[in-house]
Amino acid sequence: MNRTLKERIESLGLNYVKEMIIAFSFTLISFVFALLIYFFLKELIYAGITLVIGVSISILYLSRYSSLEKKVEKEHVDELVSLLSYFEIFISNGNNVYTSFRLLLPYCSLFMEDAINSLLNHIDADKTVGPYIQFASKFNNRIVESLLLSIYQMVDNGENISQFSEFDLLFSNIKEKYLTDLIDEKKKSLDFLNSFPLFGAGAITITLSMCIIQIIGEYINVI
Amino acid sequence: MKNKVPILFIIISLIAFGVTYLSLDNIFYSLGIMAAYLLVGIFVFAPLISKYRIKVQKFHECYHFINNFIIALSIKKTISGSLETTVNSMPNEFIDLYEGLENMTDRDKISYLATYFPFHIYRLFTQIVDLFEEEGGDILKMSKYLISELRNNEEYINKADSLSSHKYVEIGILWGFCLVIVVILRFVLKDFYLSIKNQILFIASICGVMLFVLFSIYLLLLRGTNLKIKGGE
Repeated sequence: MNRTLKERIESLGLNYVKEMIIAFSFTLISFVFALLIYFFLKELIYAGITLVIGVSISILYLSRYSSLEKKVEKEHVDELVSLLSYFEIFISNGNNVYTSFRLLLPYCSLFMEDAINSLLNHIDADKTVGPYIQFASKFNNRIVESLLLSIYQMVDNGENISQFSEFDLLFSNIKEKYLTDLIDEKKKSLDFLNSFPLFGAGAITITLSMCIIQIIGEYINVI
Repeated sequence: MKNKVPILFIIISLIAFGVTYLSLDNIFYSLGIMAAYLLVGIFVFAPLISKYRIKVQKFHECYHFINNFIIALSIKKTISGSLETTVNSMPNEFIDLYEGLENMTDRDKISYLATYFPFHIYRLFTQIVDLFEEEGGDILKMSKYLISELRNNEEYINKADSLSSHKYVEIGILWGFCLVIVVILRFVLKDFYLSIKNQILFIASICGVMLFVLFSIYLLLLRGTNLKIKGGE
């Protein structure tokens, strides 16, 4: 599905005009700084570097939408997994599947509220597996699909306790993996920061080298 | 821990001052960097840490409250008796809040405590207590999945907290080495140092690196204090 940049930005709940202003302001600011460096310090190389940095930041800013889309998709799946823990509590306390989904609504985000409301409306009109498949398709994830099919089987088999046990078995494995993933995700996000001191050390080394080369150049010119 | 946070930021600001001064030999840039560290430390980092600590502490309390209440309810079978037993095992701050609710019914007290425990899991707990009050039954069976969810969350918080603490030390040491090298270079390259210390590129890069350290502390705290617990945001 080919979507324009504007559609992608708006589907993430962001303002297209605002995003464009932010992205191009990096280039504009670097352009102003580059001009100042060139006119006041007469350093063409530094002015060029400043401009390249500004343009690179703008490009990086505009290329982050696909990772944002993936992040939002993952957040939706994570939310569903955590909500299904509550669903399990409602089912185990004697509520039927329809009521349990309805009881989830106060704990949902706007996206999930819309998705669950739409599922409930479709269940009202269609008692087949269709509404469950349609609901699962919003998450683009096979695990969600099998969970929803398991819930449908629970309804189809008269919501008996053995069917709930099957769901419980499937869901407990998924939840275990979800918790491990949560910790792994945190570890990865913190591990990334290990590289920052290396960037810092690298920047200082490059600067010192440039300064020293400049001084040596001046000595050579004098000689 | 609460009192150590401002002292820690003052020490970090002084280190930033020291490193900048030793590298640039300029008191104004050094004071500027120190001011940036102090301001960001007081107005951004301290509230972030404080909010995180409160959230973690409240979740631990919520975990103990629900666990103890359910065990007490399974033995005593009455909400008032179980509530009394549970409250006595809670910290003083909680007991003070609870004592202010003496005119309420037991059910209302449990509902009101959702303002103290703003987590979704607590709201689910109140629904199970409602169900127990209306229909009776075995509270241990009724709350089996709730307790399991609660334990999972508690385990997640403990692991995430220990991971974050470990990373604070690790990244702190790495930055420490990096800044020590900057200072050492000033003395090792003393012949060049007199020529480069006034170059705009050198000044900008030292100030840039010091601000980058501040930014990396911000990211570290932002990620380290981020907990995926539903409710209580």
